[in-house]
Amino acid sequence: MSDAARAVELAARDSYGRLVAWLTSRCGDISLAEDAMSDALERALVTWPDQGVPDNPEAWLLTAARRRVIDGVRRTQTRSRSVDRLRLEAEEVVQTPFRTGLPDRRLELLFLCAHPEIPANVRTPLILQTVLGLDAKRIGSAFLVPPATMAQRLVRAKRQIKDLGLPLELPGTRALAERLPDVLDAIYAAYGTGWDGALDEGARGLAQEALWLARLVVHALPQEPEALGLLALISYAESRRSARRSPSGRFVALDAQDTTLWDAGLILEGEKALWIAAKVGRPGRFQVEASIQSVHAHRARSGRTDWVAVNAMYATLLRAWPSVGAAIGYAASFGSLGRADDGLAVLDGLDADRVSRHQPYWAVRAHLCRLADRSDEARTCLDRAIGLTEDPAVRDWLLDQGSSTA
Amino acid sequence: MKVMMLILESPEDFASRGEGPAAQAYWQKWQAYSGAVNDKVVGGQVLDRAGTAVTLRVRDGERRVQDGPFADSKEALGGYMIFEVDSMEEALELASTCPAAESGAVELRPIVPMSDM
Repeated sequence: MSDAARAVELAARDSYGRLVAWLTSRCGDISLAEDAMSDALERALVTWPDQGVPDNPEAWLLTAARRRVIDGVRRTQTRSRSVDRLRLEAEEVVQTPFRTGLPDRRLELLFLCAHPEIPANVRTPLILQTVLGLDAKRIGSAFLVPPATMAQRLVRAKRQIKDLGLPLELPGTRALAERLPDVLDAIYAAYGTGWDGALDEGARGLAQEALWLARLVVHALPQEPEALGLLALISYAESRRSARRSPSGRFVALDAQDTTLWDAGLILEGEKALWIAAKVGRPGRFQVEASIQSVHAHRARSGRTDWVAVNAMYATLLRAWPSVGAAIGYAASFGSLGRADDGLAVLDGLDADRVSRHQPYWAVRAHLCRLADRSDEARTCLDRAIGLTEDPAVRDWLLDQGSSTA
Repeated sequence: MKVMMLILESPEDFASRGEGPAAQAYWQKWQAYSGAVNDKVVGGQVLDRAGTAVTLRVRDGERRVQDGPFADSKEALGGYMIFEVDSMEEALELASTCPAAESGAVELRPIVPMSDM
């Protein structure tokens, strides 16, 4: 890649969401703002290699994109007032030094994308596209949706925002508290989608983007404990990324990971976020989940895992915020306490239809059955888990588990 | 709806169908996979190696028979499964853990119901 192309990519990554958010706040049309941005980036790719990278790439992109937006709005001839406003503010911004003049509206954009009027399954994709500039093909691949279908859904959602006239603004305190969980869920979904494929560059990117979004929300709402909880949870999970695979690419389970490979900086970021959240004194699901990860992180210093604490925290999680994932974590923690039968009882309590195709359920069940000397059932469950595993490294690891007990 | 999954396998996959440890791993993966999707499968077959294929075309009344599959690509059709699902997305999810998806490719196509033809 040439220096100019790299400069475009850097500017795009850094400025995309901010510029789209700002343009949307002026013209009320996300699609138009996005088209204008991709147009500006395309033009940058053509111009920069010849004429050199401008001193202020963001201002350059803004000038180019804003022209396109003005053209677009003019064509529809409906919002002449917003054109004037757009021109005025854009000129002010361009005259001010790099990045300082532009009000950051990305948080508003996040809340707009997670609006209750937007179907829940489109919120995360919409955030990935508008705030981060990912294309429908990549988003579709991450969510296992045909790209054309995903593109359609995104277009429909953006049209809905425009037609309903949903404003790009932060909701009031009460509405903000109501809608924050949706924003956080959407970010967590992006992280979850990026988590599995530890070696897949695309997936890794998505996990990084989710971490970045979580930081953005915390930066804007530093006193929201659940936003801090989510940031902590993602930081802990990310801290272990390079320990999850051996040098030869084999999967390494959490208990077997070399803690010196854990990223101490990310662990610290998690601890800090969790600590600030605790001071607010409003516990929530993400804070508890992050606390569980914090116990695991502690093994780097103490050399052991406090399974009693993990078990108790999962019990809390399950009582207050029940989910299949919490139940599976709870069940697995019994295995580490030498109480596999109690763990199996937890799994037996789950709705069979909901777990029939859920890989972690079968992997944990196989593990607990093995501990409880129910080897036939362990074998069947392990096969089921193998058949439901997408990641080849995890599948090979499960295959090894099978042959070591056979 | 019914969706057909065309299983396009790599030469390495076909080669590991024989005997030895590679074959054991190959069939074990397939066994686990078909067990996991079993309740959604309404049909399917495994095809023999691509080298056993014979392709026939009739042009202007003239028969042209050639050895090998119709498309000269790296991956070749190694079998198919038919899913009974609610959507293409559900079919995609079932396909995502198919062993051939990571070494070759799988193609999903809705089956046109008889009543629509």
